Amino acid sequence: MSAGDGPAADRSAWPLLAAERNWGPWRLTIALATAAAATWCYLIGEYAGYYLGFAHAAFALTAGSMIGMALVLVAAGPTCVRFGIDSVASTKPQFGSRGWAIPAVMQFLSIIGWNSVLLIFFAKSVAQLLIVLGLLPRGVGAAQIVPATTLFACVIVFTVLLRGARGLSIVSNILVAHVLIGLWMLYLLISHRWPELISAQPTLAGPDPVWNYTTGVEIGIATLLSWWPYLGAMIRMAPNGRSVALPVLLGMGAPVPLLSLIGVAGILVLHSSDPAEWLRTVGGSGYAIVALVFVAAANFGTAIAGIYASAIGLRNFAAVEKLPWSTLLLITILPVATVGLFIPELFFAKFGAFLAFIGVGFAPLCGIQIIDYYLLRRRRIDVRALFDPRAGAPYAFWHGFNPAALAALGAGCGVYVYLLNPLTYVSHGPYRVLTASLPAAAVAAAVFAVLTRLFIARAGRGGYDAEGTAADARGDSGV
Amino acid sequence: MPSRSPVAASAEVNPVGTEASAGPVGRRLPVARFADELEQRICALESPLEPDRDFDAVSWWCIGALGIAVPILLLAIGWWL
Repeated sequence: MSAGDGPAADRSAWPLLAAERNWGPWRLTIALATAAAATWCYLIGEYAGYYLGFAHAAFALTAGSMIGMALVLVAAGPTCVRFGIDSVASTKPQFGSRGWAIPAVMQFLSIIGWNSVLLIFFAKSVAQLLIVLGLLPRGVGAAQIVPATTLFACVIVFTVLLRGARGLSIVSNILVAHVLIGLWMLYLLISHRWPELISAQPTLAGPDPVWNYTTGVEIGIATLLSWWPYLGAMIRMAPNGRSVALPVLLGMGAPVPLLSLIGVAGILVLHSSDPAEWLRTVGGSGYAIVALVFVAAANFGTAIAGIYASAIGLRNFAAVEKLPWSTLLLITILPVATVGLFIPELFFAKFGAFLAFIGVGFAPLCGIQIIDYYLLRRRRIDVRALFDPRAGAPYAFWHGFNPAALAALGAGCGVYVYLLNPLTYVSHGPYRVLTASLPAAAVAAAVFAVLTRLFIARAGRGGYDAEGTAADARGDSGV
Repeated sequence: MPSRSPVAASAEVNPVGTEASAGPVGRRLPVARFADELEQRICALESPLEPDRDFDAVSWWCIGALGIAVPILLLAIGWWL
């Protein structure tokens, strides 16, 4: 089969070859920044602004975001960038040749959830823009416009992504300008309302300042952990680890906390994190139009990156492995369109719980990947085994599932929920100094390492030797 | 349709012999499940000439600085404020 007969490599879950990995650091930075900067930044800022003043929120969110981004990069990055595969495929050594379906489902739910929020926000912005410009037909309200606009956005996303990673890159080059507009909006708010901003008190701040500060950090970490599903599909287009590290840490890690400050400032001073609302207050309808265009552009770029990453993740399933790319895109977009059409307000109202849910799952996942790659396997990954689903294959474990990974994931999620209830924000134990994501990752890593050394390796499963390190295999670059 | 397969292009950089295409311990992926192109891609990645694409020392400095040192510094400054 020639390359021309099969799907293009960037539309498949196959490992990419050197000749196909042509995204340099700048191209990757632009794509990552476009993907990262979206309306969720305002919502993230809003949540931090409930507990912290502006300065504390700025430092806590930035620090938390950088920690979260580094965790994701260190967890999924090496396997993805070495073999040109996506985040889901990188979990096969830990979860097994069938067990990877668990991270795949997590990825799918996460991306579909985020993209539903973003496209609903996009639709709301368009509706508001039409109202501001006086273009809304008589008798038609925002409630009617939002579902139709969401559907329209889905059609555009589908059309752009028919070109695969190239479509994503082209759109990113155009939409990256919105990051600068976002920074201008932040400057505008700070310069107009600085005294109020500094003196504003967060409405839900508790009596314990350490708890408030830690919650700001936790929001930053949990938010950036949500980039795990996106990361692999984009960094696999780059040639090596060196060309990936800085673009990820700065291109993806920096815009989120910076733009989140718009939401922090908005909620503290004007009691609204939506820039379209407060920019009208600050600078009139002209500024509001700029803000609305910004919001629309920002969400659109992120949604494209998300749908692309999700489609690549789904490609790992044998059932859709050979489907035409256009059909796979439809399958990926359909849930987003359904949410946007039928339950946009309900979904939007539950965003906070959704954000917390992400930290619950991805923190332990990162812990498991890190301990397995660096300590247990000592960087030795059998690339052939990644694509071998047979019963006796190295990553088959038992019926394709690794019980150590399942137990570790469960333990990590349990620790997270104990430390910080994601629905009520009621916390226990060392949360006030340790956050919830970091202990959850650490406990998952510890459980995985102990179970692997005691049971999995001794049973001769998972490609480990008797000491619990990865058995040597040709084709890896382990040391 | 591209006139030249990316697999072929890569093979010039990382030539893979027929022996290597059998895999590490003679394992060969089932043809019914995997296309030949996937097999070729895996062989190319298994080649001894394939460079190590993992994080190098510079990458680790970036990760250490921006993922650990700077956040700790920011947390300290923020708390001090």
